Amino acid sequence: MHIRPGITKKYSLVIATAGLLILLLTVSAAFMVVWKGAGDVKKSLEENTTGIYTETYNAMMGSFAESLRYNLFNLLYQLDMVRINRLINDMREGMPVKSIIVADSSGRALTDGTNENVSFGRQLVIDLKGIKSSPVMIEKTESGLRVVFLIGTNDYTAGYGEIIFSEDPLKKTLKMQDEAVSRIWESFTASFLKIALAGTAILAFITFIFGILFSKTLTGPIKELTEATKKIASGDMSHRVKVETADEIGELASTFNTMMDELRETTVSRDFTDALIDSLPGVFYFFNAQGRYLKWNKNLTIISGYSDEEIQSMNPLQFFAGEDKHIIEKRIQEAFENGYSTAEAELTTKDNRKIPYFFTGLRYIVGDEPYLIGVGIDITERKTAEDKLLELNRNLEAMVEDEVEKRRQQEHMLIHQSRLAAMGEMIGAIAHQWRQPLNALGLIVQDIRDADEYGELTKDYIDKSVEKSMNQIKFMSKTIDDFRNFFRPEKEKSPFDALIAIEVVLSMLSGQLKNNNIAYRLTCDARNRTFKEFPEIILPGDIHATGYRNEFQQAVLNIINNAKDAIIEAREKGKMGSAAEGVIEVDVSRAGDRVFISISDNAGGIPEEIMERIFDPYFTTKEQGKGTGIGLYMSKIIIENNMDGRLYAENVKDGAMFTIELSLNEGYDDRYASN
Amino acid sequence: MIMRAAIKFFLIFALTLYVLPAFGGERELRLGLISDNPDSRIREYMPLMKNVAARLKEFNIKDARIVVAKDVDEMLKKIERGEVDIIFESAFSTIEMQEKAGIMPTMLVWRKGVREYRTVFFVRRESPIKSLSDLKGKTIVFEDQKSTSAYAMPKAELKRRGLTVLPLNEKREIKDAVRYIFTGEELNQAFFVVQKRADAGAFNNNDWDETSEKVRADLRIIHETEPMPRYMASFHPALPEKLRKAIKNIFEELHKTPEGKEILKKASRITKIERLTDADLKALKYLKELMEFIE
Repeated sequence: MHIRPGITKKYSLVIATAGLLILLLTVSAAFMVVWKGAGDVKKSLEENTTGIYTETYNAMMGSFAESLRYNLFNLLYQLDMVRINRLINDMREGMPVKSIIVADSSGRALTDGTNENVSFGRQLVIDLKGIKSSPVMIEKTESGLRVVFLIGTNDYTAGYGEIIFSEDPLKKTLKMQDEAVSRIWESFTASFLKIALAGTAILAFITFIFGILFSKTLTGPIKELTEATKKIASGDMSHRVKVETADEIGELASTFNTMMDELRETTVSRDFTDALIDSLPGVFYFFNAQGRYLKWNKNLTIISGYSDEEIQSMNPLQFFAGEDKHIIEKRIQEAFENGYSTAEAELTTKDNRKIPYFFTGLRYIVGDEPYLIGVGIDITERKTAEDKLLELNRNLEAMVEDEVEKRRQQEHMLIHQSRLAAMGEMIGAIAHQWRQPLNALGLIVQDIRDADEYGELTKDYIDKSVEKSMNQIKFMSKTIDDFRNFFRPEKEKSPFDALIAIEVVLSMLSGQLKNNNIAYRLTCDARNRTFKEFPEIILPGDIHATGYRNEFQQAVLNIINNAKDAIIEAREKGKMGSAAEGVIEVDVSRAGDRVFISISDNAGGIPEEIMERIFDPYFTTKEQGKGTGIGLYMSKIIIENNMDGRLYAENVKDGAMFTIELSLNEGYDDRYASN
Repeated sequence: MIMRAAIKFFLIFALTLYVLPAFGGERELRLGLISDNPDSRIREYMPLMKNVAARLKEFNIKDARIVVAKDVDEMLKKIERGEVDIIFESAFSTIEMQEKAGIMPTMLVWRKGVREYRTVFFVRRESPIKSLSDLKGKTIVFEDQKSTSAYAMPKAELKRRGLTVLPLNEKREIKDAVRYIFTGEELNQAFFVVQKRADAGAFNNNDWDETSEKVRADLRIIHETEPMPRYMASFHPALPEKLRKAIKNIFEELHKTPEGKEILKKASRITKIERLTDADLKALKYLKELMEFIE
């Protein structure tokens, strides 16, 4: 770009002042000419009018009356009243006339021109002699200027006329002339305006031409600067102007280039920031302590639905409603006080939609002024997922509860089945138990009859027999009591002596075991002894566990029965000799706070392939009709679910071993130990 | 005279027989007027006749037409040719057309609020003249030769009473004749009497009422003629009776509605149209007598 030599501000001022002075002088001159001309015209008219009044008024009236006299003569002569009335009315319209009367030759009024004709017959006051010599007489009266005139010729008088003017004709004339002068003045003013406007237009034209020539030198560089500005506005920040002079224009060009360098840097930086803010996935905001927005991204306008102008005048709290408004207000305060805060709230859009957002707020100090800068992320999906999860959890809990309930009912059913099975077993056991005392009772009774036959039935003999009988009956009665206790349901957990509980089971099964040639042993590390016979094991125990005693006994019963069946089956299958003694060992021990009850047999053990399944419900290896498959399953449920213990199986030397692990009731045990 | 009337009636009767079939098809309702300004009359009366025609569709009337004749003679020809159905005219002309063409005066037409008028004869208050017979050898002032109430009627009335009525300068040897002059305007008539240019004047009672009270105070009425309908509506004799009746009914009702009033007013400022009363028929009889004395 080329900068031409400039014209200074001083020259411009001189030229502009000179032009203005010429314009003012021209307009003033035109105004003076018009003003003086209009004044002269007005003065001249007034002088003329006054002259008429003072010099020729009487003559004028005389001429007027004279004219009227002749006009009326023919009409009055012919007595054409219609046309006389018409003439009178015409005169009324053209002159400030109060009344006009036409009278006959005797001075008697014929008509005043109106339909009512109220003047008819009135005698006019006329100086008949005087009017002969002077046919028009003018006099001033209270009601106005009165003009009386004779209608006729020198030889014949047709009648008389009387006119009373309601207003001084001069005044009316002057008024009319004033109006005329006003119109002329308006005309002159209009002319003046035209002249002034024309002069101004000519001067403006000259100034325009001069201005074009002048501005070409002055505004050329400015224009180029403007062009440069446009290019910059269109985004071309690299554009620069050349500096070729050392005057004000040159200085301006240099300053412009410097400014452009700075502007480029600022613009690039600002554009980058703007792009960065607009590229943020959520909303961005920057506002001062008074809540006035200074910066925000496009997302805020798009999501909220508010225009930039609306956001400009909004407070941050206006984006929230209800409880969220208080939360946000608190968090903003917190951010301003502590430097940082976050909040989850629903952003209320212009069309009243509510979108859950996670907001951050960071205090940002510029000078001494605190600002808050932050972003908001749409957490609609997260919230939805959370809600769904909550719903799922609720459903899941219900399903679990439902399942547990089903399971519980199933277990109850199984327990019931198991109990029935156990009862069957127990009835068998009772039958075995009762067989021996029944036999004994039978022998005693038979012996009494024999004694009676042989004369040996003494009182002593009877007492002994009764005692023996009662012992057998007590045994049987105890068996029944054990059986009943065994099946009595317990509602609450309570501490019980594991050893005694096992002894009861063994005592109930002892008949069966013996019948099947199965020996049993109960060992207890606490006693450091082994119990082989039923009477021996009815001893007070000292191993106390917590739980449901009867259920525990049922579990033990199941395991012992299982061992018994395994031994019988092993004999049948030849895994052990048919006469080989079966052995079931029950060991009760304690370790720390746990009680361990191990029940082992010598039936050869559990095949490894079914080891995993032995506790499954309805799993059995027994022949059809001999096993239900719920005994071990129920035992595991009882021990693990109801008594918080463990039941597991393993193969040992000659057979299988089932271990029940329960919590030791230390308190009870201690109390007992102290005794 | 009777013979001539009989011939006329015969001609009209024959014409009626000729015209009647035309009523079988659609036709126009035609109003006859006498004027030297047809353009104005047509514009004034057309709304009235269109309104009437529109209500007569059941008689196959499809439209209306105004037929203007320049004088009574021309109108008589139109009547004879069956070119008009209704005729609006002054009482004198109506009677003339009734005599000559057999039209049927049926209704009385109010104009400018006036139902009827009569001619008043007046003299100066202090005049010795007391009655019409006192006018022998005196001068009377009329308006002009076209005037009915201020020339034809008073002149006929004077003649009916046996007086000779002559212009001022005609047959001066007849001394007892009532001499007349014209002033062109009613107002001038009054002033001619007041200013003793004439001994008497005659114009209609409405003009008398419009004369200034002060002037009337100088005058005195010596005679009034019988009343004469202001304006009349007559039917062509060939018009069917049912149609006549229907038209009469329409005419009678017109002034009772604002629209009817407006179209009547436009037609030469008609106020209303009503049926002739017995008094009107009597007046017509008087006018017929008077007609004998009209040249």
